Amino acid sequence: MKVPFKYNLRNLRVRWMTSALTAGGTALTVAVFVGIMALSKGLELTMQTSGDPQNLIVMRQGATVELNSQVTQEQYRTLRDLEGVTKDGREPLVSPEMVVAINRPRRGSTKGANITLRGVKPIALDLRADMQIVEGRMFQPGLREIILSRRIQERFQDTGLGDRMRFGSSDWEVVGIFDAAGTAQDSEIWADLTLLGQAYGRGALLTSVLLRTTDVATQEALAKRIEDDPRLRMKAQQETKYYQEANTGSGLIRVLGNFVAVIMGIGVCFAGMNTMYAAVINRRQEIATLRVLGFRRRNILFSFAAESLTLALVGGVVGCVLALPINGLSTGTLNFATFSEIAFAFRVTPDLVLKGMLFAVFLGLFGGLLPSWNASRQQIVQALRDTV
Amino acid sequence: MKYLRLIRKNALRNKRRTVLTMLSIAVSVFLVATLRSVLTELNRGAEASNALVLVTRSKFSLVSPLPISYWQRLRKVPGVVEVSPIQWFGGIYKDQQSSFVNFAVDPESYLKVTGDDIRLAEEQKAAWIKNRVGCIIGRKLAEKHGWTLGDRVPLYSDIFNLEADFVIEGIYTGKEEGMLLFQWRYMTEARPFGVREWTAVSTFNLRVNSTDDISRVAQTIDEMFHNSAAETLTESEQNFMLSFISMWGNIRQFIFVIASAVVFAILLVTGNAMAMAIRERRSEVGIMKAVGFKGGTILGMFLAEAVLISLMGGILGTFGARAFGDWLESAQTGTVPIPALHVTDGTVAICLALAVFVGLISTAVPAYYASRLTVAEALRRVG
Repeated sequence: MKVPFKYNLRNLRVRWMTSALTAGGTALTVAVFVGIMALSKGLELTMQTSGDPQNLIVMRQGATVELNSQVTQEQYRTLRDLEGVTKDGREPLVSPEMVVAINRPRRGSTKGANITLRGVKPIALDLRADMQIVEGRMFQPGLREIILSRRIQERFQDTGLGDRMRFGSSDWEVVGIFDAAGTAQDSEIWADLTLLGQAYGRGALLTSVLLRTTDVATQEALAKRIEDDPRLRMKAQQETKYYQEANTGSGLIRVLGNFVAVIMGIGVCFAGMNTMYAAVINRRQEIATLRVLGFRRRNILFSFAAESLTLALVGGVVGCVLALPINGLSTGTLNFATFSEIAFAFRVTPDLVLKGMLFAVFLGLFGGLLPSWNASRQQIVQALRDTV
Repeated sequence: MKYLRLIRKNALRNKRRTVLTMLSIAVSVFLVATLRSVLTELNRGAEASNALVLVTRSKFSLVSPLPISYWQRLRKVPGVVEVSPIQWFGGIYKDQQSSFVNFAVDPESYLKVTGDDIRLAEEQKAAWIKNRVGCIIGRKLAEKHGWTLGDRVPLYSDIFNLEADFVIEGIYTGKEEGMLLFQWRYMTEARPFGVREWTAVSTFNLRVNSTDDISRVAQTIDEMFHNSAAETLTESEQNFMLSFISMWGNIRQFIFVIASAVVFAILLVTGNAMAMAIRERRSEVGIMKAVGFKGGTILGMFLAEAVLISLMGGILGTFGARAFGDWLESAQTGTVPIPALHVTDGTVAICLALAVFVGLISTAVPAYYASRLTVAEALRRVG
């Protein structure tokens, strides 16, 4: 017959101090685990949702990121006239772009970080359905005006509407703030292509060209043509694939997170085991009484294990609740591929919470099994007789 | 300490408890040591910098180049001893994982600017300058890959879309022995992107006469190029290194939060376990008091026992972290993105102190109350 669960619940309540402390340790471990995973998830989601599957990004052959690529005006003109490119009326949806970087200080710091600065023509907005200008307006071509992401505005100094930024020996005014729905563009500043080229001494040398295609089949055929055409010989990639490959950070953070959580979990488990062994000794007369009443060894084992598990689950829930507030918290780090800032937000998703709870279960089982087994193996008569 | 034997026997009485306490502290210390090592590793570059060296880079960003024509103009700034152009090559050896730092430099000026930080035999230096595709590498790098003089090192630069085969003409020793340096004139003759002449550099490193000159020189240089096509930002080498670290974001804060959570969690659970353990030994306290031991002595013995166990755990954890760091270093050879985890003596000291702290705090309160029990109370409580 199973030991009534009420016994376990009552016990947890009576020895509430011990229960609270053990649950606390578990909660902290789960919170750290979920927290680090949320960081990795946030980074991953930014990269996964970036880019439009209908777009092709074209760079020079062998380049892995736009920053390291060079595209000439001649190549751009050739690309414009290719078949397979979607037209908006008579205009082919082709966006010439120039990616450079600019170093700006973060808010609350004197140190700067590189921000991706993209030179574009207004058509660039037409190829990016995710981007919306939420404050101000798009810059006027031919004027030294810039627009930037809300995330950049939150994190960097002098980036509000009307503020001025200095590069290329003149001042540029912030005229618009945009929201790019958490994609890579949320880490960017945009300016007029021609003027930016002049400011950076690049003349008209582009870094990349973005093309809109109609469907996957056309896209693949077009990509192949771009690669084979002797006038071009360039690299053409589906834009979504480009961003996924440029993501080097989140995998590393995930590994780090697992490492920290597992080690911390082991430490807490050992300490939890210690507590539970002491508890078993403390309760040896209760256990002996249960045995005398007729409960079998395996009932005792199961009962104690269930108690440990319940406590761990409570700790897990508390831990997840502790970690929840960081959801949506904006932060940024260095994207090694582009050597620039990638802004993203912590993301606590349902599957992450599930993982956290599973981790808690694991902690509860691992920490509780051995002491439970010990409890079940205890000698009845000796325990009843002992007064110490 | 005359009670050492008693303390030791007490500790060994419940072996399982002692071992578990030691292990839980060891594991937490291991984690804290590893986390702290990430920070110390990141700072290492900044700490190894030379106080007399300044770095001039483009004001826009680290990826914007400066024209080589600045070289002579920078040399003329009063207070400047020598100027050395440096171009980041970003060459990949075999694959990303086994890559290392490599630059194109002008040999003579570079060695003069770095001074004693890089030591190279005279004949190796001469051989390097003579060979257009020659390079010098750090001793640690040579050992890692088993390279000697005359070996070829093939590198592919993604930035320049350039494949290069360098010949090792020298092996240097010094502060930092993980770089590969080749000649800047290789860039001009290799002509990346098919340009007629390669005239750009990533940064200029300058050596000044004395530390007093630093701010004046930095200001003079930046004013000199203010309003030009390529504005500059000049700062000490240390600040330059630190700006790299800050690009990672609030990593210091992040690691501190995690480490604190770990310590706090262990403190909670260990404290609880200790309290229960001491409660069990109440009658023992009663007997000792009856025999004549003072409360203070008893408290001291409990604390000593706790310190002994936690210190053992701390030592185990710290040296485990060291072993782990060493293993990690030999298992991977890249410079980015995982920094090598070398556990410094400072980290060891902090972690041992932390272990003792955990041991003391978790035991202090219950031990104090136990030591204050009267004989009658202590002996009365059973079970």
